Amino acid sequence: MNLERLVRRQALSHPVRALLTVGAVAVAMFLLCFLRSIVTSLDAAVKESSGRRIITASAVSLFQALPASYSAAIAEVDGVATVSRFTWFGGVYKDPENFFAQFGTDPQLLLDQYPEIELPAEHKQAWFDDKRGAIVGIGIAEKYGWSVGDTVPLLGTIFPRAGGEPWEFTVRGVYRSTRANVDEMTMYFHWTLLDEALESGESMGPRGTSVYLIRLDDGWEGEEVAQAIDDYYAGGPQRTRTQPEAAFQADFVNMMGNLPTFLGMIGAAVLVAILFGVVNTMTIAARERLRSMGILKAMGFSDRVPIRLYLMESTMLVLIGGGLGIGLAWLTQPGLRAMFGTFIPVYQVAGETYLAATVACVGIGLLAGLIPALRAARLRPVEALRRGA
Amino acid sequence: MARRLVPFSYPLRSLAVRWQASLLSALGIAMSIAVLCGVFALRSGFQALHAETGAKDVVVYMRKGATSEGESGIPLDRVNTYRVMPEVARDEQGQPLAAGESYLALFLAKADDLGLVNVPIRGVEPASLKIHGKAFRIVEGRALAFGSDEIVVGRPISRRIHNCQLGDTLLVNVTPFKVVGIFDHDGAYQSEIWGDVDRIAAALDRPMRQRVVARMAPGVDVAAHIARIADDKRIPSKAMTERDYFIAQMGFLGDVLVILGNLLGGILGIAAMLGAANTMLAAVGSRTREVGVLRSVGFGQTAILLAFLTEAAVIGLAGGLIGCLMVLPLDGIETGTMNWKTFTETAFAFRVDAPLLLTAIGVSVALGLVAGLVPAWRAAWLRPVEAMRRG
Repeated sequence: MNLERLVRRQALSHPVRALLTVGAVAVAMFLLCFLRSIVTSLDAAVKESSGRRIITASAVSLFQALPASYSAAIAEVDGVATVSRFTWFGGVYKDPENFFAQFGTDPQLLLDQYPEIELPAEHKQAWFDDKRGAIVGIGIAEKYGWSVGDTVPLLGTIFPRAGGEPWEFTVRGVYRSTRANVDEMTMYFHWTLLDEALESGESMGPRGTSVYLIRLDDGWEGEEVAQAIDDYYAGGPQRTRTQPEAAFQADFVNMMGNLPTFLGMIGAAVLVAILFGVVNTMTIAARERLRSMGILKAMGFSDRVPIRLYLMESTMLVLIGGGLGIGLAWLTQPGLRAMFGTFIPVYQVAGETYLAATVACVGIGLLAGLIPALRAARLRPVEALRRGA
Repeated sequence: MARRLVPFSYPLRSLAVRWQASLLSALGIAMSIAVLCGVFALRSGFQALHAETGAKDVVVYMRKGATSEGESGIPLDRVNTYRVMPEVARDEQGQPLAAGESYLALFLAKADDLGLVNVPIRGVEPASLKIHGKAFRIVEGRALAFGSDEIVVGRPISRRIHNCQLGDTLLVNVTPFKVVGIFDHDGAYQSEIWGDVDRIAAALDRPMRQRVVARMAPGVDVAAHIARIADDKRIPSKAMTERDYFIAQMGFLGDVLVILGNLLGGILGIAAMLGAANTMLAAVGSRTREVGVLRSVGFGQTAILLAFLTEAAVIGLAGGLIGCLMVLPLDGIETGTMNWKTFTETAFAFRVDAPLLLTAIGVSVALGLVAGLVPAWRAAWLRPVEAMRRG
């Protein structure tokens, strides 16, 4: 007696019902993968961060610039190899909806400190040589159709130009990133260009630097260097908080508040909904099959056969649906990445999500098959034959 | 005879016979309705905080080009230029109701020790309190004494943030400030900390103001004034009414919640609908003989169709009611999330109101009906004789 074949036959005895169940599971599993991926993608930037870089920012406010004079003092601290400056520019490209990050920074230091940024050698030199030059991530270059040599106008919001006209940057390079902690949706330009414009009055806005990025000397631990910097500025003029790159990135995720919890709760509701759906299908199926189960038992099959039949059928239904949903999650990655844009620049479905979703499918399948299976096992053949219509 | 309808009790009793399957599909619909309602209750609480609270005769001025207070900067000497504008209302002593306010989102620790959030600290002048009038009220402790290192804290913030209870001391950069009062505000100010603008500017080493806020004198054409000030020679400003200012702050998060709510509700709704369709298909399948009998005693196709549609609608209705019951306890629960527009922690309460619940029930009945459409159609087109033989 071939059990697998019987399972297949039974599952397909009502093709519409099987289809509806598979569809419902597929849709819900896709949603589950999607929700989980938002959380893991946000975390990915944190996990991939380098332990050899620490970041000094204001301890008072995310929006408070540090004095430019700090960079010389930080460079003197033992364990500091290089210090680069990053200023959040906050410019608007044509429309405020076109949001992407722009930083004024020290070009050579940036590329030294971030081997993750891949830029062709000729682009590097061209950027170093052009004071108005900028490099952009492949993501925004594709989104806005920029290529090397193009001029990008950005209207200053924190740093408006005195005449009200936009800033103009020339694209000198397009970079790619090799790790998730560096996104491909950012624009970098010369920090000195901004500082000189503020000095001369061509631009308004706060002087200074949003953060200092420090690469550690070999043999030094981030914690002691960070402590030394923060102690030095404990009495002001601006208190600093220095932390590893990972912790700095994690702060941003935490600021989203209880987003992971919130999405987790919805995910749980989805799981319960899938379970209900499959239990429903299996209950209906079991009701209709009372008589055939009775026949099986009357023929002398043990209790284990109906149990296995139901467990296999429900697991099969869930796995097919789940497989479709998981496949959909895999297929939609590029589209969703484009949709999220700068919000989650590295959206992707992690390997552990595929695994967790598959495990969830098997679990739901077994659980949903259990109720009719146990009922069928307890069934007395005569009764089943009489009751089943 | 052809117009006779199947009595209403028939679908109800049929549901009761198959109560397990009916309940499971209703629960499936309930789940999707609960998620949909939960997200929309969140949005509606957030929206209530911003949309209905700002004053229409209070104007907020920021530096031209700035899209939020955080980006704006107005030099101190310009603030007086705003004060003497003829459109500005005056109090009983003849003082202009205009104030230069500073604004900075501070890193503060959450009371539950789960990391840092951005909480705005606003430096205000005595005139600020008069401008905001009754919307701003001290509910605990006392009002701010100008000239000293004191702060008053919005009620939800005092609970959510460390060192913000009455009597606590909060370190602002390197200066300790004492919490002397807790205030309430119907709008977004309830998520802020207020102190004397001069003391706060000194503590933060930020001499600039971020905005000027002014109450307009009665009879002033506010829209014309806003248009004029945009291209003013001395103080070109991005100006808007306080009401519009709050609405502008809502932008992104409000949109995200709408998209999220629709997306989640839609996807779950489809899944729940497929489940309900299954139940209805099985219901029709197992009652083939009954349908045959009904048809042969003279009930028409329409009557059969309506009977099964009613059954499906009742499943939807039950799901909707259960879903609403599930979200009802959320009403009034205070929560906080980051407002992506300002990047600051905003505290607000879930809001489950009658329109939301009614919409939810409407949606769930519709889900039930759509799920019942094909099965009901199938039942209506059964041929009586065959149905009786087959069943």
